[in-house]
Amino acid sequence: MLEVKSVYKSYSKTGISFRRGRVPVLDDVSFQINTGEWAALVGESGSGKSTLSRLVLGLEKADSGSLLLEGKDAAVWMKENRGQMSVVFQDYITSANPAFKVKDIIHESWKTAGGNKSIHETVESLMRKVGLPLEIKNRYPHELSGGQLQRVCIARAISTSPRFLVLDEAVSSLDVPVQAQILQLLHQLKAELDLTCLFIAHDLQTVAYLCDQIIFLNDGKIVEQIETKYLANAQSAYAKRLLEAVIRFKV
Amino acid sequence: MKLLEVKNISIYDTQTKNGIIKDISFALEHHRNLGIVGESGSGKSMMIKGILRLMAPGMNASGAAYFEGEDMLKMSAKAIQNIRARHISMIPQDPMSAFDPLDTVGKQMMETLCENLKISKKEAKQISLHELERVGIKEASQVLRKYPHQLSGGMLQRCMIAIAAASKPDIIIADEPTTALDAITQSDVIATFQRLHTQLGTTFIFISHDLGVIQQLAQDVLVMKDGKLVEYGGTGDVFHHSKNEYTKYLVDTRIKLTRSFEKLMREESCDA
Repeated sequence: MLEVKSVYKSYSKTGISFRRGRVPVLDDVSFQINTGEWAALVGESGSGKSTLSRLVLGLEKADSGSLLLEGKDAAVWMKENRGQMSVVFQDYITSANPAFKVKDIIHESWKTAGGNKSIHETVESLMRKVGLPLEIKNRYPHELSGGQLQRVCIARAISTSPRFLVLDEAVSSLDVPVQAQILQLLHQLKAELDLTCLFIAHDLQTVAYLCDQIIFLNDGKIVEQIETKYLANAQSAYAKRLLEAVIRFKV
Repeated sequence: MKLLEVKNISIYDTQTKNGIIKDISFALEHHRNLGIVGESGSGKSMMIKGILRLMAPGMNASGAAYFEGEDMLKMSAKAIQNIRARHISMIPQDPMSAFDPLDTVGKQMMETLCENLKISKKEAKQISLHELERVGIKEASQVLRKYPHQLSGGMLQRCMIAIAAASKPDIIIADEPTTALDAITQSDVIATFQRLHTQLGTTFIFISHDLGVIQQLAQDVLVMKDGKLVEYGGTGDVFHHSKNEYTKYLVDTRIKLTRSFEKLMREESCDA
């Protein structure tokens, strides 16, 4: 489904400086995700995960290398398949328009994706699908809890019945019980919908819950790509360090 | 003698008379760290602010909080200021926004130390360097010269811990110390806390929604829900043999979250 081939990306240094330079963010990144697969991109803050997700979403352009979706250039694919790629961001507060009601938020991307006649799902059925009570339909974002608003964002993301979904730290800023609920919801969506997903996270525990394969990104380089079921046998030093850093809860 | 004893503390809004914290009592013993857990909005931070008298205007606390036999809720402003400066330090929730972006970290550290410990600038600098090294920052003199935006979240969090530890307080309160950090930094920060606990003998209060963090760091735990105390006891007892529905729910969700990960890791130990 998604094929990333030797992608480079750097940002220019900011500030007044005589030495003009560029900071490399992604350095020869290549990987692929097969159709129907859920892949996790794991790394520390500053490792370039968010930059990579922005490239995949077409919000920024790579310096060199190519991003292919179903064999086509990502930009072309997106034009041909409007609304087929969706995203859920970490910061649910800034990703919902504060002046919109819940129903408008969910409806919005559905409307802008326009021309797509195959969508018959109503706001109500979407809300039911993500486990939101229908009475909050006319509320504004600030009247919802974090977990509810993130559910609204997920409902908006799946409203156009996308085939490719990017979850950029979608559960990281929620507290543990709510995280568990959202992961359960995503797990259920994974079973119900025909989705390919790129899940960006820094917590291996949440990733192991959902994804089929895990890609480790360190300092802009991919250090290891491994199937989740073999996670315990990860070879690279970085992956081992991350595995050790996990805060376990023992029973 | 107990280090800190909180008796029937309640916090309410003076205008609406709405209770935010309802009748909570707990005690902190020497060298026994306390963890406070609960969902967001359960009043964990509010209670601590109430005890230290850092509440927003319009909030009022009743009950008693005894530190060295004196009630902190009734003492003079100067006396409570002295306790906050020398005896009970607090590490605020968000390290990124807790520093002033317009001043270097070093200046802010030294300012705090001069004010709290009544020492000269030179001494303050010595102590800052020493404390930064203690929390595991290698190039301490470099870090002192940096502005907050030039440091990562984990570094700032460690600077905060260094400031809190510098006055050698009896108690350090850490409000969600790991929430804003990524996995590797989280475990570094936890190791720093453990080192301070054994080296300096500081007693900690940790506020967190992550049971894993609490389990590693605290000997006692207090579970809160909607401003009420749900359960209070030894960490092992509360997490393993809880009879309370809500505690069980918290433990279950945490287990559910990690079940697949733990399963994968167990398979490894079987192979080995």
